[in-house]
This record gives sequence, C-alpha cells and structure tokens, in this order.
Amino acid sequence: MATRARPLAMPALRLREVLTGGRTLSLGGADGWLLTDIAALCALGLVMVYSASEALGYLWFENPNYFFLRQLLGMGLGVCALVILARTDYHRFHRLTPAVGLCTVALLILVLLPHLGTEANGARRWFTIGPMSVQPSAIAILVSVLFFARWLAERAPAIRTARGVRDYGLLVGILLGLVLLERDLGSSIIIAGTALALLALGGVRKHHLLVLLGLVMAGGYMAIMLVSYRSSRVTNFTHPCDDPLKTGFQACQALYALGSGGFAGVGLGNSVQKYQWLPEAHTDFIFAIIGEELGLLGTVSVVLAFTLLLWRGVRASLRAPDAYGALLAGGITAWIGIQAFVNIGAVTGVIPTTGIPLPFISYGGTSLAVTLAGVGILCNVSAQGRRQGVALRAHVDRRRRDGRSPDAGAGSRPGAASS
Amino acid sequence: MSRRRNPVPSPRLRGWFVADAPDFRHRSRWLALAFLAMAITLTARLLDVQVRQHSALATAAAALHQKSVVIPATRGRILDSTGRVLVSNRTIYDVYADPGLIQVATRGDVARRLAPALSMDTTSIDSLISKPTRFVYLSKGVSQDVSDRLTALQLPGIVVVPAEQRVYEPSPVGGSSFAANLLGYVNNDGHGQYGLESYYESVLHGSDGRQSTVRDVAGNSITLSNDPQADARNGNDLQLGLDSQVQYWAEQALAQGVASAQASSGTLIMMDTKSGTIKAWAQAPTYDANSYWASPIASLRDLAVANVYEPGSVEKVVTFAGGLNAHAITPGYTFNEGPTTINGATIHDWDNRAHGTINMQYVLDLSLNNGAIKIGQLMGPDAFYSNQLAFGIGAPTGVDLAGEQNVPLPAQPSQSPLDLAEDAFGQHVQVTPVEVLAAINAVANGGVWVQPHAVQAVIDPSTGRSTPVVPTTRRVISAEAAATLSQMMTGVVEDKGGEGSLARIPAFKGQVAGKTGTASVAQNGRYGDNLVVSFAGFLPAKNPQFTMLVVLNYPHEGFVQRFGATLAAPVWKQVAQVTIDQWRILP
Repeated sequence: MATRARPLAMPALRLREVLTGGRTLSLGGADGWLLTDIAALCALGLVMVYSASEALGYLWFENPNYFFLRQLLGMGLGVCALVILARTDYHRFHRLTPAVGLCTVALLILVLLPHLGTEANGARRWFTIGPMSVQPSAIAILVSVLFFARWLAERAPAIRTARGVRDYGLLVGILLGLVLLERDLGSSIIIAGTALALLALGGVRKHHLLVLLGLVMAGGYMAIMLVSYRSSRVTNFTHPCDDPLKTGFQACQALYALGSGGFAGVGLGNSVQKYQWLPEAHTDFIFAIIGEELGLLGTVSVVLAFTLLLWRGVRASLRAPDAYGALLAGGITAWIGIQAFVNIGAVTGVIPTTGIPLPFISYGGTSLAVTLAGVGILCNVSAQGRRQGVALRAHVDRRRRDGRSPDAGAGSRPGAASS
Repeated sequence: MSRRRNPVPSPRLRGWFVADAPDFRHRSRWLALAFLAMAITLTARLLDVQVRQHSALATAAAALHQKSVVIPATRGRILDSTGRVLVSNRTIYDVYADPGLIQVATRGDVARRLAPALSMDTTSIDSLISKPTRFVYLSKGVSQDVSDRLTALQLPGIVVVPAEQRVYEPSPVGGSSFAANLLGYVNNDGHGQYGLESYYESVLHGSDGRQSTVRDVAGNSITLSNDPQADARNGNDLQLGLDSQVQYWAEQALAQGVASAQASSGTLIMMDTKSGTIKAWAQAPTYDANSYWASPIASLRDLAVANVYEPGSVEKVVTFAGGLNAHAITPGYTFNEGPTTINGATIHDWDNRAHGTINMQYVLDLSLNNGAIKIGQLMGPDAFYSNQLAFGIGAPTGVDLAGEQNVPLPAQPSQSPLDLAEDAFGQHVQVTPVEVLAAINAVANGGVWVQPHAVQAVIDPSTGRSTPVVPTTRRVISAEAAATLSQMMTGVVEDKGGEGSLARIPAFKGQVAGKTGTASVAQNGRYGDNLVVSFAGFLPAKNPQFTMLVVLNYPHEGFVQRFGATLAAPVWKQVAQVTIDQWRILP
C-alpha cells in the first residue's frame, strides 16, 4: 500500500516538445545543404554584427549589445517564419497572395504618412513597433516574388505575347514606383532584378526579354542621373579614394577595410574601420568588416556560401513539382542572389553604392526575418520537389501509365521547353 | 490512399494553374549561369583588392588611423653650485572659449560667472564670448587655483588647458631676472634661446615621448593592446659652477657701476681660476626672462660672449706674458721709453709723455703703450704673433654658452709692423670679454689656459647620475713666467702711481693682481671719442682663487677720468671683497 516514493526529479524538459507542442519538429525533408548553409551564414552574421556594432552601440546607446540583441530578435522571428513556412505547402500562398499583396501596398503608402512612419537619413521608410522597426519595402520584396510568381504561373501562355509582357511590366512599374516613393533605390533594384528573372523563368520570349533589359537599364540610368546624390555615387565608384574624405568616403573606406584585411584578416574583433571610419559598418557595409577581420578567407567563404545557396535554390527550381513552385523557388533564389551581388559588388567597388543589406548577415531585423521567411518557402518547394524527384526515379513505369508527359526534368530536354 | 503515398502532383494540384501550360523550369539554368558569373566576378575583385592591393590599401588606411600623441618631456632644471634651483618649471593654465558652444541667451550669465574667477570685468568677457569664432583666449597663464574654480563652474564652451612654464628667479636689480644672460630663456615654442637654455637645449629638453594609437573618425584614441609607445625621457638638470651669492652682488655692483659711469652697457664675468667654472656672469642692462618678450632685443644678447671689442691695455698682460716666457724681458729690464714712430705713424702714451729710462714693472704699472711695443720688438714678430694665438686671442673659447662670437687674428703675413705694435697694447685686435678673461686666467693659473665653462655637471634626474663637464686645458707660458707676471700685476694695484690703485684691498696687500684697460672705439675706420674701459684681475696673487673681468662700454663723455682704472676697478674691487667674504679667502 505504501506508495513508493517517486524520485524527486524534475520532469525532463524536452525542448523540442515545448517548441513544437509535443509534435516532432520536422522540416518535411527540407534540403540539408541549404539549411546548413543558411545556418552558417546567419551565425557568421550574428558574430559580425556584434563585432561591427559594439563600438557604435556603446557610443550611441551605451550598450555594446544594442544592435546584437535586436538582430537576435529579428533572427528569432525569421527562424520561426522559416520553420512555419517550410512546413506549409507553398500552394497555399497562391490563394493568400492577393490579400498579402494589398496589405503590403497599404503599408508602403501608410509608412509615408508622418506620425506613422519614422524618418531617418532623409527617408521615411520605417514603422517603429516597440524595440523593432519594420521596413515595408523589405517585406515588399518577398511579397513581389509571391505575387509575380502567381501572376506568371496563371498566365503562362499570355506572357509569351507582347501584351502579357506589357501588363507584367506595368505591374512591376507600379510596385517600383511605390518603393521609390520611399527613396529606397536598393530595394527597387532588387525588385526589378527579381521581376526580370521571374519573367525569364516564366517563359517570356527571348527578344522580349532583351527589349525589357534595355528598358530597365535605360530607366535605371535615368533614375540614377536625375537624383544628384545617386549620380555622385555612380561617378565616384570607379575611383573612390581620389577623394577619400568627401564623396568617395564610404566606398573608399570599404576598400581600406577589405585591403587591410589581406589574405587572413586582422583577426576577429580587431577591425579599426568599424570605429566609425566606415559608415554603415554593421548594416550595408558589413561585408567590408568581414574582409578586414577575416581577410580573403572570410570573404571568399561568404561568396562560396552564397553560391552554394544559389545552387541549391536553382536545383529546387529545376526539380519543383510544378511551374508555380519553380517560379517561387527561382524568384526567391534570384532575389537573394541579386541582393547579395548588389551588396558585395557595391562594397568591393564593382558596382556603384546602393543601400541594401547583405542577406542573413547585415544588421536589420525586417530584412533578416523576411529573407529567412523566403528561405522557408524555398525549403518547402525543395522538399516537395525532392520527394517528387525520388518518386520519379522510383516510379518511372507508373508515370508512363498515367499517360502524362514527364514534367520534372523537362528542362533537360530542349524539345520540351518549346512544346 | 495510394495517391497520398505517391507524391507525383495530382491533376487537382496542377489544376491550380493553367492546364498544360508550357514549362520553362529549365530556364533556372540561366540563373545558375548568371550566379556563377557574379561569383567569379566578385572573387576576382576580392583577390584584386585583398591580395594585389593589400599593402597599398593597408598603408593608406593605417596612415588615416594612426594618431601620434606627443607626451612632452619635462625640461631639466638649472641649479647653482650649491644645488639651489635657479630655473624650474611650473604648470600654468590657458583659458579659452568656444563661443559656438555658448548659447546666445546664456552669454550674459556665463560672463557673470566667469568674471570673478578670471578677475576680469563682465562686459569684456561678454564681448569676447560674443565673437563669431570658435576659439578665443580669455586668459593666459592662470594659476592652478583659478583653473580649479573654472573647472568647478562646468560651463559649456570654456576650456582650460595646462601648459608648462619656465620660472626664473628675480634679480636684485629691478626689472630683470637672476643671471638672465647666462641662463637664457625658453620661448613660446619650448625652445631655449640664448645662454645655457639654448646651448644645452637637447640636454635640458630631453626627448618627448610618443604614443602611437589608432583613432576613430572623430580622432578619439582607441586603446588596443599593442600600441607602440615611447616614454618621454625628461630633460637633464644642469649643475652650474655659479655662486649665487657672488652673482647677487655682482649684478648689483655692475648695475651701479654702469649707472654711475652712465655707460651704455657693462659686463662682469668671473671664473674659478683653477677649474675654469664660471662663478659670476652679470650684464647691465639685462632683462627679465619671465617676460623676455617685453625686453629690448639688445638686452637679450649675452655681451660677454657676443660683444667684440678692442681690449686696450688689458691686452698688455698677454704681451708681457709672451715677453717673460720668451725671456725677452725681465721685470727689471730697463730701456729708454718714449713715443714710437712706425711707418710714419707716431704712437704716444696715454699721458703724452716720454718717460725716459724705466723698467718693465714701471711700464706695466703705468700702462705705457710704448713699453708694450718695445716688448713686441724684443720678441720679434713671429714669437709675438704666436704668443697671441697661444692665449686664444681672436679664437672662440668654446664656453658652453650660446652665441659666442670671435674675430680671428689676421694672418701673420698680412700684419704690418704698425698692426703688431698696436696689438701689443690692445688696439687693432678684437676680442670678446670671455676671451680676455680666459687669457688673464691663464696667467693666474700658472700659465695653463683653462676653458671657461658654466656647467660643472649634467645630472640625470631619474638616476641621479652626474656627468662632469671636463674643460680643455693647455699650457701657454711657463709657470715661472706666470708667477713673475702675477707678481708684476700686483704692482699695478699696489705700486705708487699704479693704474689699478682703486682695486686695492687692505687685507690683501700685495695680493691683488690686476690690469686696467681703456680702449678707443674705432668708428668708420677712425678712433673716435667712445671708449671701452675695463679691469681684469685675480687674487690672491700667489694662489689665485678667481679671475674677474669688468668691462664698461661707452661711459659718458662728460667724465674727465674715463679710464678703466677709475670706472671699472671700483666695481671689480666691490665684487672681489664680497667673494673674499663668501669664500673665506685668506691672504
């Protein structure tokens, strides 16, 4: 009768169960290469944000952890978004896209209103919510991928006509106009580039694509030359150090940082350029601090990590179970790739300076969370495609019996493309 | 059920889209190619920037980052022979305002609060801080006390910066500082000017420390662990041979002597006979080194080393030394003295008389030019000329003071018999007071010339190690000749009719050796009315302790008795008596 004394032990805290409400956490067979790569980039990002911002955080907020903690918050939100989206069938976004798109457009307009939006550096493009500031234009990039992917998937035959291309161009133009109202050239470049990539993936005729490329370049040239602060950036990007203390200051300081790093870098935490020599050292120019502290080894590693990410994205796109998935995966991949190139290209002086964060690494909660959300969708497309791919290889006979033309892997046969 | 297990897209799924839409997934490969091109471009650029341009960019960046902070060395002190501090340092404070940081509305309040602390009136402060500038001095050189009060006020835009200032002791003569011409001063840039401050600049200054730090864009130092740093090495102290007591009286006596003779200037220098260290170094008029900028430039010049003059009869000591050393004469050598005519020019004695048959002691006592010429003729031009060179006439002594001048003797072949004759009694030759002092001192020192020098030892304040200054010496004449001449020079003071009778000191009867000098000053190639009167001497003659020279330039023409004997000798005697008392010199 005597009850045996139960061992006075704490119930085993099973983190996984707490996080998932008792269910086993699964990313549904997501791409392990992709997730490892993203995790590595995010980890490097956290370390570098801390290193690049501790002095600034202390100077401005008397808290060396100020930026680090906010980045951690953004990353937490982003990882949640990634996990949820990776576990959500991407086809669900198809129905949600119009509503999400309208909300985003509303946010883009609302942020321009005084009292609602927060102004900084001459641009009103943030909502301040508690400790975080949300930048609608960063959200707009992901939403534009969702929107254009759906639009292209629905109008697959129409896009091969000039009329379809014109309609698409008008939509993109309206969105770009909204983003440019916030004087956010960086985001508009990413949106334009991604939309163009999506158009190519969506099956636009090659000569239409060439005409569009020409138009975009001419438009971009106009947009840059009409605004003096942008044109001075462009005219100075070739030789920034000719006038290192004036117009070429930031670009030149970025080169100083990269050059000082050399092959192996000055060592983690030992950057001097982060002491306000390099403006935006923890945000748009964090790649320069990576170059200074970790040297060529660090910078080339980052480039390789992005290349791996892009390869996995392209692979997911190629293996996507349907056109919508392929467009989603391709769009997200193109977005991240273009943003990374524009950022690193600006820091290294390959292209003129534009204000755009380096995905996964730069300080900026909204951008980080949105990028991770995008990767979540990419994971889902990748997972479905892989399952299909495995299935395809395993059930060749069954597919034949279905009497359907094979879709996955169709790209390997040029004949299929023009069917 | 089977459809669930089979992940092949169902027709329903595909039905979300346009049925049988053309599929362009293969175009993702375009993306792949584009990304590859981007990655290659970026990698190439990174190799270019981080490897090829590494050293150039790193150097340029370092040049931008490095900030060199100078840690000023503390300038060495100057001490007298007993260790008394003659020159020291103190920290003063300059107060300036940045009117740009003072709000217009608060100007009146700021001025009201500053006024009592700075001892200035409110309106003048108000006008200063209302200037449209970012920098205006409110007050310079305020004390620590005032600085503390200003700091306590915590007013924005008011800055107090410390600065090091040299402190010089006051002189007994009003309006000047102690031994000003010997010491020199330190200018606003921290560089020594004139005298010891200039000559020993590198020793006194030490070496400034330098800390090289990395700075941020605002110029703030970033403390990294491996900053190269060079500590400041403070300047060394100078231990002088100067006797402050004697100097004190010498300055007063000379000032009085110059004033009563209404001379334009005067010099009194004294050296220790045997060691050659400078014991007194007075000048009139002199200046206040604490406010050197307010003094006339002429008073800054150290006349004892920089003033070239014709010494007159004091030079006869050198002539006599040569004659005695060469055995050309003896004190008792007799000859018929009278005006000498050389190359058509007739040279008279100061009294315009012919003195008949006299001996050499008489010549020296009465300072007869023609007697000195006789010695030169007895020696012959070669010996006479080389004797002058041996005594350092026309050569720098190398005294450790800045700005020593000299006019070299003309080369011997260019010297006419008339030139040599004039040299014998101290006209035509050009010397500085310190040259004359060293020459007379060679006689006092048994025939050995000793380099005069102000500094006895250089002391490193951190270790206390003392490095003595060793003067150069050389034998000029034999000890016998020197002893004979010393004895003869006492006659100048003691003998009946001796020129130097005003330098007699009763307790030292027969022990005061001296020689007067009264020289005409050449102007525009002719000897005019201006005179330089001087008296040189040493005591006690048998074992001299010090050698002193007094020179008065251009005494007022109204004096009938414008002679070294009458104007310079009393000054000499006054300081000699003080020195005897101070040093407890026994006859």
